[in-house]
Amino acid sequence: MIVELGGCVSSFLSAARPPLVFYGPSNLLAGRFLHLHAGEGLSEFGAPTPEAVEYCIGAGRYAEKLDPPYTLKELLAVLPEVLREKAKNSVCLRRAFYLSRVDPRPLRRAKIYVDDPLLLFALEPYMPAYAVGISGGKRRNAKCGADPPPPPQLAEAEARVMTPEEFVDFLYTHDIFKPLLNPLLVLKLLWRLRRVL
Amino acid sequence: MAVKKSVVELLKFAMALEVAFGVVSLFWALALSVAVVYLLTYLFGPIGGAVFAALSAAYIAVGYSTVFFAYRAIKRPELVKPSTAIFWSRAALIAAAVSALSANLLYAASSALLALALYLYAKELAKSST
Repeated sequence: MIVELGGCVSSFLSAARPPLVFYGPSNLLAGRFLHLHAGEGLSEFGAPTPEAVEYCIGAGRYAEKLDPPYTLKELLAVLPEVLREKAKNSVCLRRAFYLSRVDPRPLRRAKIYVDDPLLLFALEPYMPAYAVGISGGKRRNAKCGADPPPPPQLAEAEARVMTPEEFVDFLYTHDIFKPLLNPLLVLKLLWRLRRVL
Repeated sequence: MAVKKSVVELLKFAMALEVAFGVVSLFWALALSVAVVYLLTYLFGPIGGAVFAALSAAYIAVGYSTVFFAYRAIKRPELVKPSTAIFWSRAALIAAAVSALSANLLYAASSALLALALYLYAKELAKSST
């Protein structure tokens, strides 16, 4: 869930604890931030969040039906005819697939600033995500601190994007007991399997 | 790039083995746990029986659902998606671990093989769709 920030964003960002990811105008930054970039690349395998799919082709509610990881082909299969053509030709969607495989493990102890909304969507499942200029599900008015916020210090960093095989390994090993602790997820998957098989 | 044929064959073999051993072993596990629940209830009262019944019910539910998944997927492995493959591979791994602990070795072996086959299949699917 992306939280849309308002009010004294700078004081909020300087006081907040890492990890977090922020997207917005860079003059709002305060304190130490990692300015994250990602290399060139397009893909058809990954796990774009519904927000990312909504951003690219306006079909977020169809992407909600899919569990990570999925392929472009699977997404096309759940889309209605009208959106299918749009999705097939969308470079943004392929980029979202590529960026969704960003490795969050080296970024766990950092405050991250991104200037690409797709990178924000890619990191959102792994850490709190805040944005100015993208309306998320929630809005939050940040309170102003007593002291003036410190000046921003940006360190440049390149995101590591996993290969599809590494991504499968990552999904396989991270929170291994989660599906069993969530009976709703099990039921949902069983229900979906009934339709698939 | 197409999915390797050997991986698909391994998956089919593991699924067939899972169905064959699963149906028999889990039926045996069901009978055994009914007996143990009866014994525990007799010795420690209804709470002891209920706790063991809940645990064994969870195990048998996980076991039978992987068997059922294998049974349905065996004819058309191409419909198994990366996400379902990962999910059921983990479920089969858990079923294998619990089976090994309860000395249900044939079913433990077949579940472990299924978990491995599904994992390899998920990786192959990932490799084939760049």
